[in-house]
Parts: sequence; structure tokens; C-alpha cells
Amino acid sequence: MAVNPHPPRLARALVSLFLSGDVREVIVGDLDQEFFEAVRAGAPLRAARRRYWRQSMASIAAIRRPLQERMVPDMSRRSGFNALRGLGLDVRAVTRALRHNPGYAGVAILSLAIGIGANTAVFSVMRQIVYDPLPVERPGELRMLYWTPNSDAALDVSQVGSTGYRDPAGVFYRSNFSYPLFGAMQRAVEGAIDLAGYNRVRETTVAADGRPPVIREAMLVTGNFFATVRPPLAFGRALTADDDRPGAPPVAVLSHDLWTQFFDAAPTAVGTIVRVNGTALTVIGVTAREYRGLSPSGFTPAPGVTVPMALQPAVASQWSDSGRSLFSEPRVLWVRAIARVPDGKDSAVTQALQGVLRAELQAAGVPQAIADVSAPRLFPGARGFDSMRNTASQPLRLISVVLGVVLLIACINVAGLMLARGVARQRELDVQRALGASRSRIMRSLLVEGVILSAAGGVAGVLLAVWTAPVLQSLLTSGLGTTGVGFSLDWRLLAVTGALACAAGILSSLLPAIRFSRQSTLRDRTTAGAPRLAIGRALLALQIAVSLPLVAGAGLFLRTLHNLDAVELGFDPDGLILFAVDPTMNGRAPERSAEVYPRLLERLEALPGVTSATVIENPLIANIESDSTVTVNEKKGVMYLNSVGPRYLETMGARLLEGRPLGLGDRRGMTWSVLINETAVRTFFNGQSPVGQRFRISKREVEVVGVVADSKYDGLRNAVPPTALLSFLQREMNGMHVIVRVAGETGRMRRAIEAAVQAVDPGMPLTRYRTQREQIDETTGRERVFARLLTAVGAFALLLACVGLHGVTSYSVTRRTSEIGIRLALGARRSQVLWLVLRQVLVLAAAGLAIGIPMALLAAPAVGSFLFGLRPNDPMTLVVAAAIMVSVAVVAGLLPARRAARLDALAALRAE
Amino acid sequence: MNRRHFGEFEQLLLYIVLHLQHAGEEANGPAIRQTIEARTGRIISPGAIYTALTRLESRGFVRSALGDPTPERGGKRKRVYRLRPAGEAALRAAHAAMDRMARLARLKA
Repeated sequence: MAVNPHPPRLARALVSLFLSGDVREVIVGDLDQEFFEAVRAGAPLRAARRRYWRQSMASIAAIRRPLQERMVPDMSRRSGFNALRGLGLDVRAVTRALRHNPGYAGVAILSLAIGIGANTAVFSVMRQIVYDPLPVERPGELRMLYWTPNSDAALDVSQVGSTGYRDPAGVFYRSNFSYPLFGAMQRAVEGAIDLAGYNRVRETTVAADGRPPVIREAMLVTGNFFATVRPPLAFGRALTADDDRPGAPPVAVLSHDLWTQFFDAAPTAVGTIVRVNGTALTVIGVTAREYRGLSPSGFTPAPGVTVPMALQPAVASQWSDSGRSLFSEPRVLWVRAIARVPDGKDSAVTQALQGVLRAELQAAGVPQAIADVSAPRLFPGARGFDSMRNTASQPLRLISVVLGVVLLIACINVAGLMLARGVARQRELDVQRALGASRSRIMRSLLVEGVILSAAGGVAGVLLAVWTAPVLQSLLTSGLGTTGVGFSLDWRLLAVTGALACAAGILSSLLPAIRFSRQSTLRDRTTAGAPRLAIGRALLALQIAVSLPLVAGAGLFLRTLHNLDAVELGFDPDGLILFAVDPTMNGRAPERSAEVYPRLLERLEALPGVTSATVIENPLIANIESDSTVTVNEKKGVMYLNSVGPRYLETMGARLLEGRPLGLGDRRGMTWSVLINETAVRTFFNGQSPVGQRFRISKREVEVVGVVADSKYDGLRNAVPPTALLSFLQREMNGMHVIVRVAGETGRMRRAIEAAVQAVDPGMPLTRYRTQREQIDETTGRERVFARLLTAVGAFALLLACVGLHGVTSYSVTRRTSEIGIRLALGARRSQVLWLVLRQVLVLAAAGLAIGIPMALLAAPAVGSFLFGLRPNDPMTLVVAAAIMVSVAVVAGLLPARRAARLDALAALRAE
Repeated sequence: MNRRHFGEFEQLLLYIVLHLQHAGEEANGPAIRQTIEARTGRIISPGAIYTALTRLESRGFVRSALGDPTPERGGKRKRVYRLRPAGEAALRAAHAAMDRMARLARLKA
């Protein structure tokens, strides 16, 4: 038994709170006495306390209930207990009333559901893109190690799979280190923190016995990567330092996805062999399902295999095309670094790394001036790669603002509906008031109605969000470039939805509540005596005002898409098929892979339906490019480069203006031949004919053999850069894209093309198969998402405005029936009556536009950076949007107006 | 409300107050509740008991006084009830009526 047992304090406090006077004293006394007697008699403490609780609560209920039963309906000023009970009655009454008005309830719930559902869905995505950390132990300790300055030209180094990052202060950082530099840094911080290296091999072929090979990203990691990042394992063991030594048995950790695909998630997978780019590796473990590499939001593909860095020559042979080992090469930057730094150690680590970084750069021959200002920096890495990504959150923020406006419109609309219904309920409310219901009591029942509607809307909204999740996902995949983001339901999301629903409910019912709780007398109302409902009309004007920016926004994006489609490309994108083949992914040595392409092109051109085929280093309009410093007649500058195959010009449908095209004759061992475009002629040759002239690309001398017409290179939005086309036969590159021009439909060619590839090099994977049109559409994905979203949202806003206007106009026609009857009896023409009603609608629309147009202009700059070929305050778009709003208003008003015009004067008068 | 009539629970309370009085015990909350619990197995909250007793008091069937505070009650006073003659008469009348009804129905306890 406890040393000093005492009755439950909370129960006693509750009794004191709800009861008063000597009743309180006596009851607390009884309960206490009984409690102590029971405990003294040896009853278990818990039982005694439980009894105390039960008896005290029962006492409160017993004493308060008779009080309450004597009360008039007004219970709002009573304490919380009664208020709660009253609320229960309200809920029941409102639910019953809504069941009897299914049309009203349905429209209100549906519009709230669309508003709430859309916001729920976007919040779910936003959370994953902006907040969700890596599924590893204490992700907050992870840091991404970057360094500055970020300028290849000054450093004279080459990079593999690097990314840059510009911090808010405008400083550029780079992600990559050379292997010797990384090793020196690792030794410098050894014992203090864990510093691991890694890099992504974007496409590798992964094969297991008896299963078709697949293309997956591979992650090369140092031996301590698993100890540092601590990704969860589903099975087997992690990679260790011993696996990452030269000559160690080659091993790999599989992703959960590949484990399932190759081995049906069987534990026997451990110890079996998978082949990565032709090299046999023993599977030692499987990462957990939730781990998808260092990009939790799926902006980069999840790695299918994680392999020791020592296997780079086998798995990523294309990186070492100079033939030298990357492990001793100080001028190729190919290792990225991630660290686990306990709180508070950041500055000490940065300092320790700084000295090593400068010393190693200097040893590598980097100019002293650059080495001296080089500095490492640790960035928060809880979200892995995605920690450094801020491009996706901007469009997402825009989307969430747009959807916030949608919810607002839905609320305004429901408020309007409630007002209209309130008028119908006026008598009922007046009766309630006459029976003694207070103002706050009536307000409460209206607020309860709003919250119930929005709660139902919230439930329907979540269902809607689940139902539309696949659509949303595909929108995001094309719009934001992420694959790992989907809709997932959990309690946090439901809490947000609940909060949204509550806010929406209160927001939409507040105005009606205030309006109808006002005192009024109980009197017989005729139609003429019905209130004019000024608030309802004001709400509608507001709704039109808020809808206008959405409609205008849809217009801006539709025109942007149109402008992008109309961009002069400089080549003919129709009938072109693109795909990538990389012979090194089929186990071929890099120096022997270039020879595959000419044979492949020959084979492709022999296919029926193919007019010509060529290869290209960087496919066009794909947001990638190569560039280099050039020296033309002692003048330095930058030219964009692209390596292309023979028959490039005729395959692409590009025009040769002067000289000759590149051909099979432009081979290895000769001076490199280049074609340059018009912009390059203007920029570097003052418009003089350059054919036969020579200049230097980096350090190599090249000869201009022809001039081609300008065409877009990396993106539709970018101006045509000065460009030089080189012969891929002279440059001998791997990982080229193949371009095939077909005469007929592009859709039927895939099988024939795949067969041709297999015939030339059996087992060689073909990746990124698409048409040039699809490639272009991919780069305008974000604009397409916005255009679609705003069009849908704008249409929704128009529909709600239409419903609202129709309702208010119908109401006003009913209210003015006798007035219209008198007018008709006195000789008013039908057209005059029609105009009488329509004028009212137009005044509303005009008032809405008067607020909406400045709002649209104010909001316009937010979308400026997404538009193309027009300014955000484009007057034409705004005028069209306003015209659409007005026509919708007229359509909504026309039905009631015609009803008014057709009224029979006598009948209308008699209706009074 | 008919001043002569009361509910089954109120009648029960009157029996108990009378019984405690005959036994020379103080008819306070805990004593009444313990008796009800011991004889009928029902656990009635203090609140319910005082509500009913207050009603009986307002109809003149019982009277009550606040007793002395005792340490085991944490210094809280208790309320002690006594049956008034009107209460005894009403209980007698109700009992007789119930008795007649029981005999009419040949109900044996």
C-alpha cells in the first residue's frame, strides 16, 4: 500500500468545479471519507481511486442534470457541461435538416470536398518534397560536403556526375572531389567523424540468372558509407571497408525492389551472383524497402545496386576514358562526400578539412590563387541530395497558393448557399428566437452546420485525394521531375485535413451566423417582405473577384504553352525517334565501344520505314549541353559543342547554308572538322564566311567546313547559342544517343529498332526510348502542369460562380415577383424585364471585376518566371478572362431572367 | 406534483433513514449509501442521493442539518438527515398501498 494514499486530485477538482456551496462540501467529504475507509480496510488503492472517479462523475451528472432540465432552451451561458450537451442537440438537429435538403448539402459538401481534397493532396506531396528526411538513423546529423570556388575553367579539371549549388548569398559550391583529395580529407577527420564517399552511375545493366536484365542506377560507395549514412537493411549485411579494398571479392548490396524482381524476395539471394555492366558481383545484403538512395523525394532514381567504389573500373568504366586510374588521378573530380557530424562539431570539421583541401589542390597543380581561397562547407544533409534542391518548392508553393484560393472560393460559395438557405429558414429561426433562444445559441447552430458540412467535405475530400492520387502523381512526375512522391495517408495528414475542414467550416458559416442571429421580430413575411440579402450579393462579387486571377492564370499558361509550341526550332521534330545505347553497359571496353555506332546506323537505315539515322552526343531540347572555351583569331569566348554522326543534317531536317556537311570521311587522325551555326559566325567571324578557317576549341585546332542554320540546343526558352558541331568519329565518344527519322508513324518502330540493336551487339541495352516530340514535351512539363491545373481550377471557380449567381438571381426574381407583375401590368415590355434582371447580374459581375482585376495584376508577378513569350500582366489575357467571367454571369442570370420575363402579370399579382 | 407520491428510490431512502434512526445511528451520506449497497447491491452516487433527499426535504418529509467536520473527511462537514412525521406518515401510506398491491397480486417476497 502506498505510504500516503490520497484521492484522485483531478476528480476532486472537477467536483469542486461543477458543484458549489455545501453540496460540494458534503459530497467531497463523503467521497473522501469513503475512500480512506476503503483503503484502511485493505481495498486495493486502484479500486478505491476508480470508485472515487466513478462516484464523483456520477454525482456531478446527478446534480447538474435536474438543474439543466429546469432550464429554458437557452443554455449557452451555462457552464461547459451544458454547452456540450446543447452542442450534441445542435449536431443532431443540423444533421437531420441536411438530410432533408440533399441538394443543398450535396453542392456544399462537394465544393468543400474539392477544395479540401486538393489541398490535402498537395500538402501530402509538399511535405515529402520539403520535409521528409532520409529513412536512416538520426538523419539530422548528416551533412553534404561541398566546396567553393565552382569554376572548371579556372581549375582546369574535369568532373563526373557533379552538381553545383548556389547558396542564398550567391556563392557557387561544387560537389565533387578527386579520389586522392577525398582520401586525404578522410584521413584528416578520422576518429572524429565519419566521412564517406559515393557517386551515382546513372545507368547500368543489372542481370541475374534467369531474369531479363534491367537498367538501374548504381551507387558507388566507399567502404564506410553504410557505417556513416546507416541506411536500413532488409536482409544480409552491409558493405564494409574490407569490401572496398583493391582485389577484394566483388560484392553488391541490392535494393529491395531488385531483390523482389530478381529473387522474389527470397533470403537465398544472399551469396548468389548478379552482373552489373557485365561484371559478376556476389550479393551480400538488401537495403530496406523505404530506402531509395540519397533522394528521399525521388528526384533522382533509386539505386538498384550499391557497390564498393573499388569496382569503378568495372561498373563505371566510361568515367576513365583517359585510360588512367581515377584512384590516383588528382584532376578528375568524381567523388562526392557525405558526413555524419554530431551537433556542434561542424566548425571544427570544416576547419580540419580546409587545410587538407588547400594543400591537396596545390599539390594537384591548381593555381595558387584558387587554392588559397578554396573552402569546404558542410550543408545539412538530413534529406540527402534533396537537401540541396530548392527548385521544386517554388512551383509547389505556387500550386498551394492557387489551391488555397480554391478552398477560399468554395468557402465563399458555401457561405452564399447558407445565406440563401437561411432566408428559407427565417421563420424557423424567428420562432426559435421567440421561444427564448439567444443570439449566440442561433449563431452556434449555424456554425455547427458549417462545421458539419465541412467535416463531411473533409471526409469526401480525403476520399477524393486518394482517388485522384494517380493523376496527381503523374502530374508531379512530369511537372517536377520526381518519381518517388505519392499520396500517403497518415495521422499528420489527417490532422491537417481536419484543421482545414474546421477552418473552412467556420469561415463559411461565420457571415451567415452573424447575419441571421440578428434580432428580428416574428411576423408574417410575404415574398415582397423578404430581405434583399445584401451580404449574399457582396459575397458573390467577392467570389467573382477571387476567381478572376485563376481564370487569368489559366489563360497565361495556356498562351505560354502555345508560345512554346510555336518556337522556331531550326529542325523538324516530327518523325524523329531518340534513344541511348552505351556499349560499355554491355561489358565492352570504352576504347572499343565507339566502333559499334557506325554498324548500328547502317543496320537502322536498312530498316523499312527509316529514312535516315545518325547519332548525337546531347539530344536537343533536353536541358543538357556541352560547352568549351574557344579561341578564334586570338579572341576568346565560349561555344556550345555537340558531337554528331554522318547524315546529321538530313536526319534532323536542319539546313546547311554554306560548305559541306560532316561525313564518314571526317575520321580520327585528321584535323577535326566542325560545322558552326549562324550565331557563331556572327559572334566570332563578324559575319564573314568562315569556311576553311581554323580556330581552337580548348587546346585543339579545328577547321570550319560548313555553316548551318541556327537551331535551338538545350531548351526552348534559351536563345540559340554559338554552336560548333563535331564529328563523333573524330572524338570517339561513348553513351551516344541515336536519332532515327522515320517516314511513317513513329509508334510502330520500337520492335524493329530493338531487334537491330540486338543484332549489332547482343545484350546491349537500349535506354531512354522516346520521340523527339516527347522529349520536347518533357522539358515543358512544368508549364503543362500549371496550364492543366489552372484550367481545371479556373473551370471549377467558374462553375461555382455560375451556381452562386443563378441562386441569387433566382431568389431575387422570386422576391420581386409582384413588382415585376406590376411592371408588366403597367405595360413594361418583356425585353425590359429581361434587362431588369440581367442588369443586376452584370452590376455584380462588374463589382467583382473591379476588385478582381487589381488582384490579378497584383498576383501576376508571382508567375512571371514560369511564363514564356508574354508578360504576366498581359492585357489581352486579362481582357479575355474578364469577358469569360461576364459571359458566365450572363449565362447564370439568363435562366431566372427569362423566367421573370415570361411571368403572367395577373398571376404574379395574385401570388401576393 | 402530488405531495403524497414519491418514486421507488425516494421511498427506499425514507426506509433507510427510518432504519438508521431506529438503530440509533446517524443518517448521513456514507451510512445511507453503505446500507443501500449492503441491502440491495446498488451503488448510488452521493450526488444522486443528495438530489433525491433535497427533493424529499423540500416536500417536508425529511429534515437535515450539517454535522461536525471530522478529520477522516478532510475537515469537511457532513449532512445528517432525520425523518419528519409527515415523512413517516407518507412512508406508512405508501408501504400500505404497496403491501395491498402485493397481496392482490399474491406476490411473496
